[in-house]
Amino acid sequence: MQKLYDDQEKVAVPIAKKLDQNVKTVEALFKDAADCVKRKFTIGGENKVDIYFLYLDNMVNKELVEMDTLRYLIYKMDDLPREKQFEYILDKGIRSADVSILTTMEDVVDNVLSGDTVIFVDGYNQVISVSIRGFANRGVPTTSKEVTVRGSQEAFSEALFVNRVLLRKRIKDTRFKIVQKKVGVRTKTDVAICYIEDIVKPGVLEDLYERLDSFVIDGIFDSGMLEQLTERNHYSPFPEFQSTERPDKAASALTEGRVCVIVDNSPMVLLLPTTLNAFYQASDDYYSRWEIATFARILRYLASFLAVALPGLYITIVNYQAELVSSSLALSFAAAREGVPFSILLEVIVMEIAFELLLEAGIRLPGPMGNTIGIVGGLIIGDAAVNAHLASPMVVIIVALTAITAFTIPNEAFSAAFRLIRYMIIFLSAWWGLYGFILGVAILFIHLSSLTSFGMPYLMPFVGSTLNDSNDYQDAIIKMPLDKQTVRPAFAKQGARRRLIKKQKNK
Amino acid sequence: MYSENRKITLRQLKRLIVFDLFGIICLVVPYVVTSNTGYDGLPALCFGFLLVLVYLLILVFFMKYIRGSYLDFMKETLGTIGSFIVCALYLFKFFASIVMVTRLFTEVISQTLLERYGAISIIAPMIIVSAYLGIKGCEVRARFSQALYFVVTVPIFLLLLLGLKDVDIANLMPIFTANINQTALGAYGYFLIFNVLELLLFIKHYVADDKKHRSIHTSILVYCMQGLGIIFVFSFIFMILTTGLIGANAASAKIWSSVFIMQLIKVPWTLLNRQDSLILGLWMLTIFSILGAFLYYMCNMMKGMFGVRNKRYMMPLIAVIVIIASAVPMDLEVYYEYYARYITYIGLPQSIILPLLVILIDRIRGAVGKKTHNAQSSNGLKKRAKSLSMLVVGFIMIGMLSSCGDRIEIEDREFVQALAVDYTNNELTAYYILPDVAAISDQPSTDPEKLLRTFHGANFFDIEEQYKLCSSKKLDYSHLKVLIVGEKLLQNEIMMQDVVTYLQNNYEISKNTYIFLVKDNIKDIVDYNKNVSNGIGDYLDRMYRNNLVQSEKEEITLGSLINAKNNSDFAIQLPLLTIRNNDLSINGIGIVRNDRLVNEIEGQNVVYTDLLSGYGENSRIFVPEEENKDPKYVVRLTEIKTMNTITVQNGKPLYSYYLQATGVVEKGLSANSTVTSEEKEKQTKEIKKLVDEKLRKELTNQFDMIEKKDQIDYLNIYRMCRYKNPKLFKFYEDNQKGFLQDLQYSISVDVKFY
Repeated sequence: MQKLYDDQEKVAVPIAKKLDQNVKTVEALFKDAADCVKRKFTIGGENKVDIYFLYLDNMVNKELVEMDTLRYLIYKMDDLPREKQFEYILDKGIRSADVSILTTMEDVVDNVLSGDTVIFVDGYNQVISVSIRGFANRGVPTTSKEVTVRGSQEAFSEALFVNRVLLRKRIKDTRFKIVQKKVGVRTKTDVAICYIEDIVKPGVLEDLYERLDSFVIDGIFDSGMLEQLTERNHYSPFPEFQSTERPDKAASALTEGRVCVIVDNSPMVLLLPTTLNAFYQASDDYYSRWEIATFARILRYLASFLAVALPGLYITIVNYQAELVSSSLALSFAAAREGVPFSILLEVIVMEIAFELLLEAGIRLPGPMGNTIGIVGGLIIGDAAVNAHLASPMVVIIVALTAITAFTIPNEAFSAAFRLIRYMIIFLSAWWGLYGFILGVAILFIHLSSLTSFGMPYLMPFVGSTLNDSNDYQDAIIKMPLDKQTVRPAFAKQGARRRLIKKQKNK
Repeated sequence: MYSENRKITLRQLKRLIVFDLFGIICLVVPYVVTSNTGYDGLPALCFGFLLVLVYLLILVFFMKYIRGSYLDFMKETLGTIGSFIVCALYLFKFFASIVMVTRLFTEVISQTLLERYGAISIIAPMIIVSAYLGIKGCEVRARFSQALYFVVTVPIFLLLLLGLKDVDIANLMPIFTANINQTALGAYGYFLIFNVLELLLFIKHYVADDKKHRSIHTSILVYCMQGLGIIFVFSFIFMILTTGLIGANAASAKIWSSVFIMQLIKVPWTLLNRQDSLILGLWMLTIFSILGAFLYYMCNMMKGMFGVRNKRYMMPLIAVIVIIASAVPMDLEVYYEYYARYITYIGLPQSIILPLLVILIDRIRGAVGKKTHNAQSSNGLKKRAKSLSMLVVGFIMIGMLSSCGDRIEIEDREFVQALAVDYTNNELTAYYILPDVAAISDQPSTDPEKLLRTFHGANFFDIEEQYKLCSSKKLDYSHLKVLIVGEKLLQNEIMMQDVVTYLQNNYEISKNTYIFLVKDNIKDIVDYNKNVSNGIGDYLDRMYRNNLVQSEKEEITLGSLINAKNNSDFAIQLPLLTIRNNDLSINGIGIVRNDRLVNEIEGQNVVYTDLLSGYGENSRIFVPEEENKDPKYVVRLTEIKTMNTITVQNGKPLYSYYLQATGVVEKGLSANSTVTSEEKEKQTKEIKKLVDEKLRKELTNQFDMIEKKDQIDYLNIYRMCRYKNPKLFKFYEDNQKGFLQDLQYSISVDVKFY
């Protein structure tokens, strides 16, 4: 028998005109596939023809397939013509609008694996594909990672088609485009690239397609994998894409001219290009009053500074520049450190790692047990460590405060970067005090300055704000009232940046 | 389409200029100018700025004739050998400059933040981080400066503004008195620091057009002028503050004297105890930009000179050479002198001659329309990984080599809360009063005897050595709150000068530490520590802040003492500490001039001194004031306004003092309802007459006694003359004694009662 797959892992066998030959190919391709339903029928009245039905169990809406399509083909094809039987079946036998004709076995396999039902017709080297998908999914879940007080509670799910719907129902515009691609030779994961045609920068799309075509992989299982495969800054802890589970955030990003990438089986979609500022924007910032949103933003920026700097600054003060804090505070630090057997560096590192362990354990354990870990680890062990003089109360406060501040940033991937950089600052501060701290800050800013996401400087609008006549500042640390934000951010292409026009009242 | 075009905007160029120049210029400007012109440096600064603008015009003029990047233009015009020679000259200049900047900041850091660290462990990370920035290219450097622009400049600017109120105008006046040579030298010195502006020729290629209706060169000129204007404002304020706060002598004594003033500026409502380290930290952020620029252009030049394919390979080599060269032990002032000479005679002329030469040759050859290419290399993944790994490996190596083990944990430090110094038996005696740390952690209080440590020695260094040998902890002055000086020490001018110099040079000691004078036995005062719960240091600090400063007394700190040390005509009034009825109290002032105690004023007389000095809000006047007798009237003076003028009368200086205040009668005014308003008015008139008379009499007496009879200028009238009557000051310049002898005075008082 002919080799089934070519060197590029694609099905090499063509669709034959003889049904038996196709059946053999399918049998070989789907050998030992328990979930594969395949059956040969003969349909027609006076003129008969053999057809071959193929679908994957539980990936189709079985009721519709069996009761509607199959039953109709078996019982309602009495006047099947002698000629052009394929066209007749397609025209009269299939009661669905979502029908396509496949011409390669590769497409047949792809469609079957994606949940379509395919029908081979004897004597034709074409195949009818009917999309009556119906695999199990969670429906539309509620947000769990990006919770907001106000606004939609819908979240993306693992089903790409559900995610598409969630976006489509928010953007009812024909210029909203969804281009679908498959990534992964074996997983053939559907990747949907969504954008609004007349707002998106063409260069960003070109760059994205180029990046998607720049690799061949056996499979991807989450948007996180696609993110790693397509990013340019591999050695940076900062994400080049913004990931979100919120459809409203994704829709808002689309209207700003950004691109949204949905990966099948992943509840997180990717938004690009992204900037550091975008990670500080929470959905409810746009649903609340601007003063409150601004206050929250300032808190988040402050929190991210503390998340990176606090332990380093503490070490600096304790080991080098004690004059920075008031005498009473410096003496409290000294008193608290009395009897602790470790150096301040070791103490901070041990406590930080202990916290990371608690965090990791809390994530891995089932819900109720996770809470127990928090209580046992955070309260009991923490208190015991202080009482046993293994750690000073100040360090416990510092580590706890740092942890709280790190989680006020509304994006986990972004806050994780800060958690990592914190260690660099800790070591530099331990080595060189305030000088080391400044070295750390300089390295961080040099690195951030060198980052770009699809051509957009990562530090926009704090750098290169002239790209959009400084309008991006209106949604940065200070979030101006919505009616003042008349211009889209620099993500949108030139000439398509006006987004709000106030109508003049008739006097 | 993208911003990823290796171009920088004009706004970024402006901020890059500010960032590149700020660190170095603001650090050395007071030294450079005052060492040439003395206190009269501001006119020199202005003339120097004019020279800078001319230099900028020349550079922008050159830019018009440079096609593409300057390096490519050189190669195209001069050929390989010619461009090699020119590049070598630039390379040497950049190398000398980078070593100068590195050494300068290393000295600042080693004397302020990292005293116990070797130079190499400060230099190496500085150069590595700068190389990291340099390797990222011009666009990243521009973004870096733009991102940190306000983070650095705004806090420093605000701090400088806060410092302006404490400036002693007498240190800056009279203006326009320096001779032309001095002013010209000062101006030229200031202009020389701007020689790094030459980098504009190299950066021009990266500047994107703002697409306004003017040429790119005009835009560059406009934005550069804005940037230089900002630098001029900063250097002007730094000049005023440094000279105004510590005097021209101290400003010209140290190359980085402007750092010193950060300690003297008091910030209200701050979370921090001392902000100077933090501000210094922010300041340091600017050096990476200028060092990165030098390294970047050096890399580019060497790449062209030696035909290296990738400049990234050159960067580690250059960085190592710069680190080694910067670590060569040499006195900074000496190196600066060589550097200044090199810049004066070679560096600056070459910055004009070389581009002029290249342009002239290009014009002669008529080489027009030659295309240049963008020399930028693409940022590959491997390159990024290499630069990052280089950074990490570099840091780990330095970390291992550096003396990071030298750090001392906070519990291993002995914080001194109060320091008392006196001169007894021909040696210096220092009493270190320590805080009770045990009491803070709810443990039993430490024996007060253990909180007092006494040392005797020839000088402070000797005492410090003794301290090291008999203490398990490191002596730490960073939380010193008060300094108590014994009378005997103040009577020994040489020893006092030694002590003040030591205190001045010790960065750990806050220059805002309060100072007290003790007349009799300093040990009694020190022993009083037992009676105060939080220690005598905290007690005196609070007393000063809550009672004395609030009642508008002049704040006397270590900074004032240093100012007095550096200005021989300046007198300060130290609060006199005594123990009265088993209570620690301030009962007078000691007048210190030239590091010597020259007079003392005690009791109620201090109020008159305060009034004569322009303070004394809420002070009370007792009328009549007789010993052991209850005064009939007690009047509190509020809304005090004083006016001083120094004029010339009959060819002699006349000091006119006018006091205006509002009197609140606290005792003596009839409160009976039967008293009519006429009677009240009459009584008020009588009180006014008595108070005015008493004040006039007492003020005159004191003035006459101290200023005229004792010839002690405790009110600093001679210094006041610098800005009140510069002509008169010039007449009596360097002749304070003659001034005081000739001084006439008139004192008038008007206390209003409502």
